[in-house]
Amino acid sequence: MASNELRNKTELTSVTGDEWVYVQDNLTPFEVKKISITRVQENGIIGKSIRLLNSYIPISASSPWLCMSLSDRILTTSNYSSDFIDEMRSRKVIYDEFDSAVSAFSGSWASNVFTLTDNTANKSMIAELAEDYLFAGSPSTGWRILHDGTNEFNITGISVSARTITVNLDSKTASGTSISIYLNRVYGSTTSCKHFSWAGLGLYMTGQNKITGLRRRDKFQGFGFGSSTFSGTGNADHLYVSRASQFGFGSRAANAGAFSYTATAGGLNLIGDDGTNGDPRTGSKTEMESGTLLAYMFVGSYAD
Amino acid sequence: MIYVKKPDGTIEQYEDDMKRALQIDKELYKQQGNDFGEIYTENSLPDEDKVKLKLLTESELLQKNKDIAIAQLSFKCKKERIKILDDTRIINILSGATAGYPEYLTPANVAKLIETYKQIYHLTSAKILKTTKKSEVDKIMKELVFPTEQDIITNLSKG
Repeated sequence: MASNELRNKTELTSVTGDEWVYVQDNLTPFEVKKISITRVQENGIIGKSIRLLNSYIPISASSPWLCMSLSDRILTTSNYSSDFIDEMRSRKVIYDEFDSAVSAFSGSWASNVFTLTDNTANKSMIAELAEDYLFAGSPSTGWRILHDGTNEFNITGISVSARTITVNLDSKTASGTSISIYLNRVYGSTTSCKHFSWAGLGLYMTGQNKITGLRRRDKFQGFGFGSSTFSGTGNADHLYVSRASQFGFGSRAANAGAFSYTATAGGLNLIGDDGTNGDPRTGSKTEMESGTLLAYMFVGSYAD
Repeated sequence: MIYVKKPDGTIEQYEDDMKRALQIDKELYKQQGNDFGEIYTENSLPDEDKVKLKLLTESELLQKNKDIAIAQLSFKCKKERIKILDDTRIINILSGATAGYPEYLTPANVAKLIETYKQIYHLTSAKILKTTKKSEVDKIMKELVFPTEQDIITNLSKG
């Protein structure tokens, strides 16, 4: 069968990438255009679709995908479509996105300090925001943008316990009873957006009270040491902290009311080979065994 | 309750569910080169601060200091006795396995040696229990003197 011949759909058992499809380009007057199925496959939703590749392809007109591992940078309409810039500028912190979807967080202003009302959405939001603020190194510019409904401001401080966000007024007056936090805006610009690098980051499925678009630092489950308590008659070795603030390993002496122990000066070496799993691998961050890939975001169109 | 002791010494109190928020704030302060203070639970709060907040009375604190001093005294007595004669040697002597040991290491002398340390413990702990101030407890502990090995040997050899 010739390649340019229309075929019965039942014959199309696999897609080779050479096929073409017709898509509606305009409603009135009605127009369609013919595009390759490969192009359709490679397109996505502007500013939202992510794809993974196992090697680097620089962004270009023929490959309008922004590599998320690229360093922090400002993207402008000089290179990117206004659809993409607008989409990125519209992204904001949304609490409980699947249900109540709170994006305006209530509270009140006192000069340059906004105090959030004491409610679940606000407390969760500010804790998550502070996490990203810590990740960023608590900058005073070039980070997320606070909007009071009239003006936008750079955030210069956060207190989770006091539920306050401090901003740089920059000769403006902050007012209103709610705020929004824009994730990718650039202070003072409507034709650009900020890309925050994903280099070295794992991915976290957001939901519940987590907020899509904010970064999270690594952490591990907390634990603590406590005094051992003895209810049986065994004299097995125990780790204990005595009421006299002495610390050591020891064993309970038989029929004795006190511990006998062999604590040595210099304390304990808590990090060591457990005899099975080898020397601990330590680093500045907690990581899992990983493959390495590059994620790209669809930007619609790109011009050099 | 959660307590935050600020750098100026004042203590702020928070509900238990604020612990994570306070921890984040502490990290933010540190990242910006500022001192947030220390975060405590009721258990970890220093005793002197517990007294300030009336979580502990002066007399309860004194009793606690006495208990700690007596526990340290017990530890020191045992440590000093072991320096002179450890548990293994005591068992050997009491079971008659004394080959190679000095003649003065007899069961009777072992009992005397142990009694020496018991006396130090009992006399000193009695003094501690009579104190009315922490400074008195500290003074007793600071001035605590144990016999030297030579003192012990001389004493046992006499007997």
